[in-house]
Amino acid sequence: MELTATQKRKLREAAQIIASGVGIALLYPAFSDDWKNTTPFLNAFFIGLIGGVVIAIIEVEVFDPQKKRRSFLVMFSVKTILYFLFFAILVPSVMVLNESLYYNRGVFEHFQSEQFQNFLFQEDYSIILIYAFIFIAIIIFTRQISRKLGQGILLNYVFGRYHHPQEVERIFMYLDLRSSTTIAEQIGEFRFHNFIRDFFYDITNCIVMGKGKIYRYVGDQVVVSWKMTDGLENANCLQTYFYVKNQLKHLREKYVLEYGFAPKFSTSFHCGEIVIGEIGTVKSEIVYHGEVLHQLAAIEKLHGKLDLDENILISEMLIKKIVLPQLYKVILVGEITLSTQHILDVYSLREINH
Amino acid sequence: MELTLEQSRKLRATGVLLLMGILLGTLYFVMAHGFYDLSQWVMAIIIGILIALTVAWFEFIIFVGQIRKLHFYKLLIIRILSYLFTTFCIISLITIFYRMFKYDISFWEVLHSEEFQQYIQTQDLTIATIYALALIITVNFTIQMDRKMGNGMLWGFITGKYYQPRNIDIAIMFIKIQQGKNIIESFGRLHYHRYINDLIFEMTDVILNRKGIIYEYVDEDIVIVWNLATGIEDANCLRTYFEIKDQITAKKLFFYEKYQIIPEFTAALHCGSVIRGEIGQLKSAIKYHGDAMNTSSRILELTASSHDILASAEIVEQLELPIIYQTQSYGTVDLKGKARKVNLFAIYEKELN
Repeated sequence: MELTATQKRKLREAAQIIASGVGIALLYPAFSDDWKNTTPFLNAFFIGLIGGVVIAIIEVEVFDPQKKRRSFLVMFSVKTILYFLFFAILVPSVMVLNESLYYNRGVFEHFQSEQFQNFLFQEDYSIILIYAFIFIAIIIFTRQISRKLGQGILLNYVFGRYHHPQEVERIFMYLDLRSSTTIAEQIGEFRFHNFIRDFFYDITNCIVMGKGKIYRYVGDQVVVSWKMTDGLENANCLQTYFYVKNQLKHLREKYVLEYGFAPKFSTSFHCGEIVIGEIGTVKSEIVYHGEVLHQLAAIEKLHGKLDLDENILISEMLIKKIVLPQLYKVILVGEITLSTQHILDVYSLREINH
Repeated sequence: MELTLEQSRKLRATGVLLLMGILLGTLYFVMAHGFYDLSQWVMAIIIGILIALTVAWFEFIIFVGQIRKLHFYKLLIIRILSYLFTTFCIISLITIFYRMFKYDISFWEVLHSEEFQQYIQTQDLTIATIYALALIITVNFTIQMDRKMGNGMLWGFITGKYYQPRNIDIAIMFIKIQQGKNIIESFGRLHYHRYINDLIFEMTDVILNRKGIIYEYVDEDIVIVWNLATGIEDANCLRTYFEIKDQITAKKLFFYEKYQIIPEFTAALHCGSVIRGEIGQLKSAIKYHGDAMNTSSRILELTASSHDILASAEIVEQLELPIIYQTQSYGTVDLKGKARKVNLFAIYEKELN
């Protein structure tokens, strides 16, 4: 069975949540109990595992960010309280079950035993709850922030992968909203901001499906990057164009109703060697520096002069490396000057039967 | 005594840390002892204050300058070790002093008393130290994140301040680092990246002290914004440019030795009303959209080394020009893609005798 990119991402996230659940749960008995007795560790393991699995399912299936936008504070409070209540029930349940097996007595018998009542009302239970609450809050907080920052940015802050700049090879896409000046003049700056916000929001999933990473938003433009392998595989990068096209077609009525315009867009693709690195100690950003982006900007400018079947321009460099989706053939549409001697051909796509 | 801008910024941050120390100390006291023993509470607060002061001392006096360029995780390890040691010392010393006063006995007597030995052995001391360390790390991590994300972004994300787009008045400055092409040609992309990074590093403190918000880096441009009132106050926005210039001039030798180049940059200063809002869901960003942003970047295109900083009439009218600077009319200019003409001024430092 082939998993889609979205399913893989969800599985990865679920695995992370479960792993941290088990890890944090095991940490508790490691500090508070002596190491001779295995029961506390078994308790902790099952609490962490069950709790992790349930929370992972809720996180990726119910609260998955792709579906709805809610404010940070609301989401944070709802999740923390919900998961906390769940743990408040889970902890004694697992312990009763586990320990009743260990002491070889009935579940209810153990529940009513003095030992367990003591645990509930005098000893560890309240501390375990506080412990669970703190860690739930930290995990939810980190996940929310990480999502806001973007794919892998938080991890990079911590481990500093790009602290020392590196030369890498990447595919880039510029995706521009077309005739944005006209739209802005007609609907005003305020509604135009919302228009762009909705537009970016609606195409995010397409970019994720195509395995692209959002590099930055510049005005009405999104810049997306791919590692060579990710972008070339199944022509993922070019597929992103078609994902976006279909998505916007699907949503055009919503846009016309709300803004009076349906968004039109154009894309340009290029690839090459570029430097990636972190800049700034305040407002740190991972940035790309190199000619590739300047050349891509020049390619994107060609859109103004051309009337294309598909609003997609691809540099000669990328065309040479990529295997096109079968339905399409390339057509030469223009060129850009790199330096006095060098020019770069620019291609577009057309359906084969045209 | 007049505090420098940097000192007052750090003083404010220390205040916040102190407040957190008192709050978290109280929290520990409530969790561990309930509300009965007030002298314990005083002790918890004293410990909280001392730890907060230590953190402030480490963060603002020790961990500054070049050390900031270290890896995040290296800094984290250094921090954990230093804080582990100091919190352990603070907590054990204060508990000993507390017992000295309470039972009126000497330091050594407390240290050897059965009750204190028990305190150490029953793990209360370990728990208190771990509690303090965990909180220091959490607080520190949050401060670091906030720093990395840029001024106030984290807080904005949490409170949802930017969630609804709003119309606000801001002062805008675009700074362009010149000669980028030369460096790429003669030294390559990696060197260029380091050059930009070093320049930004030198600029950062000046921008923070002048209460600017680093909005974004676009290739060789750095965009800084202020709330209009903050930017105008004491001509913060204009002074930022000249103070950056002073700072870079002071570091001229460093740049020349490392890159064989003396940094040059130009700037555009403008103000206006823009829409501020949060966009994107998988990678959220706070964005400023509006005509004023476009105009600023167009003004920047006009600058060259001969005109260090060009400011629009809109902002010049509102600024109270510091006595050491003077304006000179640059004329009325047609900007690309703009229907309206813009009146520009070049700003210079006066020749002082």
